[in-house]
Amino acid sequence: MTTEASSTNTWLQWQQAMIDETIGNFQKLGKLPGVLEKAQKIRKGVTPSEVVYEEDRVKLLRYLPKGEIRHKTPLIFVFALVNRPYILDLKESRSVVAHFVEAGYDTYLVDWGVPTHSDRHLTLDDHINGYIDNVVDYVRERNGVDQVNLLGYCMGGTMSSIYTSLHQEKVKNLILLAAGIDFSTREGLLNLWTDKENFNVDQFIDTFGNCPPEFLQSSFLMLKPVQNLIEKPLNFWENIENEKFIDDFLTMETWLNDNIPVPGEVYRQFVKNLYQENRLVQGTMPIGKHVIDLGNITCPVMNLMAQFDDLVPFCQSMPFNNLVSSKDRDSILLKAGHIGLAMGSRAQREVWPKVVQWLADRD
Amino acid sequence: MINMNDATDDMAQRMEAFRKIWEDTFSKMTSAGMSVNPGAPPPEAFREIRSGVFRAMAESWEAYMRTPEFLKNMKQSMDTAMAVKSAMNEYLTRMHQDLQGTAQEDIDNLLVAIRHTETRVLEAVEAMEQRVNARLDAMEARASAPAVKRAPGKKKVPAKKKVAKAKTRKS
Repeated sequence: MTTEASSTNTWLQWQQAMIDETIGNFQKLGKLPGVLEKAQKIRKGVTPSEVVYEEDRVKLLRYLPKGEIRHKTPLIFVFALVNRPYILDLKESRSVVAHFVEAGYDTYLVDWGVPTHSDRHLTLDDHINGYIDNVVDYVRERNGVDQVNLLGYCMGGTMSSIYTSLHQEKVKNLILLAAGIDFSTREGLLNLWTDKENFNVDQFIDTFGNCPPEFLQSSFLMLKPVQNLIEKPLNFWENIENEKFIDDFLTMETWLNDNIPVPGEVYRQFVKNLYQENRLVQGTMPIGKHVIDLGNITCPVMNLMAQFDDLVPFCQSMPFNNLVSSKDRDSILLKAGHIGLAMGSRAQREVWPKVVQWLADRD
Repeated sequence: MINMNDATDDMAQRMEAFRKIWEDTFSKMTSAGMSVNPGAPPPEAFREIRSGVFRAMAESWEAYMRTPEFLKNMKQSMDTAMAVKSAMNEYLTRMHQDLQGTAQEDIDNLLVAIRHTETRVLEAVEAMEQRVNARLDAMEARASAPAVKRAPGKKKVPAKKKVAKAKTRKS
């Protein structure tokens, strides 16, 4: 008798839950127009900045200092060529840039702009020995210093390490954030998918010119299809009434969907020389007339890695500290993903204050 | 020439891999559903089941996306996409050229030509810079060297002007 009553009770509970869920869904539906309106107003970058240098499509942003500059050596952020750089300054309390600006650094960021078809022939050499070098020279001259600090994120980290190996005299400290260095691992799906036998990068670039943003976007989505295509929309729906969640969600989604094409030749070199041939760690990576030797790096280095990074698995960044000649080498491995390492709440709380201090100690 | 047996085997292998991924997914999903506490209140129980199901699906799909069958499928669809794009590019180029207009390919060729010229000019400038620097270094060295007294009656011979040979470069 008791068992029967309890099962009827559970059944009634389930039925009630279903009814509540249906009513709740109708209420959520009413929230949609407001969310769409909010999505239109998302800001791209929050720290006030000015454009101080322009070359072709590239812009150098200088963040307006809060109070006086307290450190002699300026800091330049070098972002990847894949997405827009405002992820580093996404919103208040989630801005990497703000940590450095508030700590009194003269802070700059390289915004690569949106490549057009006419940029398809630009190579890594053009970006590293061209744009980055010109930006560094400009900042050195503007600030009256011989050296700058470099912070490179993702592909920007790889480019910053190459730049430093070629122009060590201009770099005081180098910080890498989830930077791909050793591409021998097959832990990440991207590494597997870009294998020579699976992907003909020459034919791809010859056909498409630049690497289309939709291609990159779908590759990134497919790294975690269940999470990105099912769980994420469900989470959004369940939390549609939570203002803070929706604000974070929309800010993040705006950035994630703001993909840009990658200049064709850069993409070809990156996939061929790094993903397929892993030349950087072998000391055979060609950049223009140079061959890159990471052993030329002698400045203090800080290597930041994310334990659950599916884009650049941490084992891809880890070997960097053993390849450079620097005596002052540091690293932090955070339990986070590729983006969480930059703007996750844990990174904001635990990592960035440490990095700011690390840099200040070496100014 | 396509061997029909190979093609059939290949298709069978792919079907088998696809069947396996769904079989794995469902068996993991079922065990995830079984592990739920039946006494839990409905929304929590539902969430537990759901997260178990998603975890199971994610694991199976990750494994599937590493299989040779998936990689083969991926390569095939990429090849098809590239073939379609190539054919379209070719068609549009021909159409533009027939209409005496400018095709994308023409602009690309022009850009390549400009880049080659740019490279050659930059190389020439670099070579000139090196020569100028070498001259400056030599002049500095001469200026800092102790002055040598000229023997009486001996005239100073003006230095011969060197004419730089034009460099031949590979285009």
